[in-house]
Amino acid sequence: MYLTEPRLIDVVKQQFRYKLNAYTGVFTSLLVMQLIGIFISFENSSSMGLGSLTIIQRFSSNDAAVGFTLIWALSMGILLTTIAHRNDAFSFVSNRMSHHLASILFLLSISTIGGITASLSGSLIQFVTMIRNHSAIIESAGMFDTPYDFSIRILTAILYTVLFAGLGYMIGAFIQRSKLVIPLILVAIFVFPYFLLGIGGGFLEEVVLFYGAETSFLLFLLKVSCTVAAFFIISMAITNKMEVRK
Amino acid sequence: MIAFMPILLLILLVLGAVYGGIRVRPKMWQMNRKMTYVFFSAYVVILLLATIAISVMDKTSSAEYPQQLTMKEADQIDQSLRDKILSKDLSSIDPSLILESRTHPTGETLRLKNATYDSYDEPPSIYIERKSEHDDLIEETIYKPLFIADNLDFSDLMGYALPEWNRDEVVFHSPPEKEIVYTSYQDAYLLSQFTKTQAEKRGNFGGMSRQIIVHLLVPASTEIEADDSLMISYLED
Repeated sequence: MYLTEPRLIDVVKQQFRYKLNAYTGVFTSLLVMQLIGIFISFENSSSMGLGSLTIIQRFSSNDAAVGFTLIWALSMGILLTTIAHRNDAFSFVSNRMSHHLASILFLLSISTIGGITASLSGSLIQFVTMIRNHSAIIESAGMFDTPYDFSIRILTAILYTVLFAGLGYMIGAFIQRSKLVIPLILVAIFVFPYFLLGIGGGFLEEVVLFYGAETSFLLFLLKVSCTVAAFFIISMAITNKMEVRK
Repeated sequence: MIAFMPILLLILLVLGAVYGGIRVRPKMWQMNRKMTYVFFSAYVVILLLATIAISVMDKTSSAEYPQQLTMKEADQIDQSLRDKILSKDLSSIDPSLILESRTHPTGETLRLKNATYDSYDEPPSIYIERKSEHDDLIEETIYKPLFIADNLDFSDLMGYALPEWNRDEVVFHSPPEKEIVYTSYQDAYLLSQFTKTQAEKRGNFGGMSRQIIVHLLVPASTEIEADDSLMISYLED
């Protein structure tokens, strides 16, 4: 008999708040990664010569900032499955389910923040480009000009970040189960599909096209949601039989 | 030696600061939770301010830049222009495509010479139409070249060389040396997946031609001699 019976949702909330307070390093690493991406995004140039004509294009984009954010999300997903982070669960009266749910909530939260800042990093690059070059050609709709496009870009960034974070979480869960999984994952992604499926470029290309070639946002949302849910369910299933604490 | 004095002073200053700092041995600064939130919040505020600023700057200080024009649209304009010249329907041609209209006196013979010196620079497209009047006047109409790069219309920035007339001779030169430098910003390819501003056009260099199109209305009695390297189309009645 318990005087107070803890509910799962309360335990999850408690653990989630703990992770938000304790793992502030994720925000530092996000900040550093995006700043690096921003700094290397400025004015890459390319030139073309056509006889007496030379065209020099100085081109800025926030591709690098977004790319680094996705790498950050992947690494954060893997990091959350490490022993140090798993042992934090023992600070509370909890079970594996509540630990996973709290980790998933934490991942979703930081991915949302990462996606928003990745999308907005383009504004900073755009601002600096316009200040430095008064005749810059800006091919990006503003927040007030096309708020729909602006919102869609942010939502797309969030979804991709969540996708990578979920993938990292699943990979981390596999690795924690057995370190032998690392070479197997590399072989599964790059070697087997290329030879067995006979698809030029391999399985990886098909996966990229599955998400990247989608033109309907709602379908894309459905794809990412189902994929991320599958990632988390697989992660929970894999770690279910692991030792409680080494 | 005197020129190096400022550098030496700067080096001495830095060394002095480091030595003084070592002596004092300040406490190592560490990134705690509070500082993390402060830095991150400042970063987010900067991003939001930049977002608002560029939305305002777009409207108030947007500089002139080339108009958007796809290769397909440019091809249609060019083809339409040539079709109208070939069908002698010059009155329906968009006046903005005309660079200059000139008249030149001519004698019994007209010589057309090619003086383009660069193998990459093609000679202009020349259309010659005969007129029935024997007024010893050649009417010349010059149409501007269409050049598209990255789906932007640089036609007005190209620079061109007008044909040089000298009595019974007209010489067509290469376009002048020209360097176009432009700066552009595009959103990340991944984020543009569902928006109208697709990044497909990125890196799409190329255009129709750097050379002008010349239409000559020549009296029927004038004999024409032309270099073989010139691209001339004779408009038949």
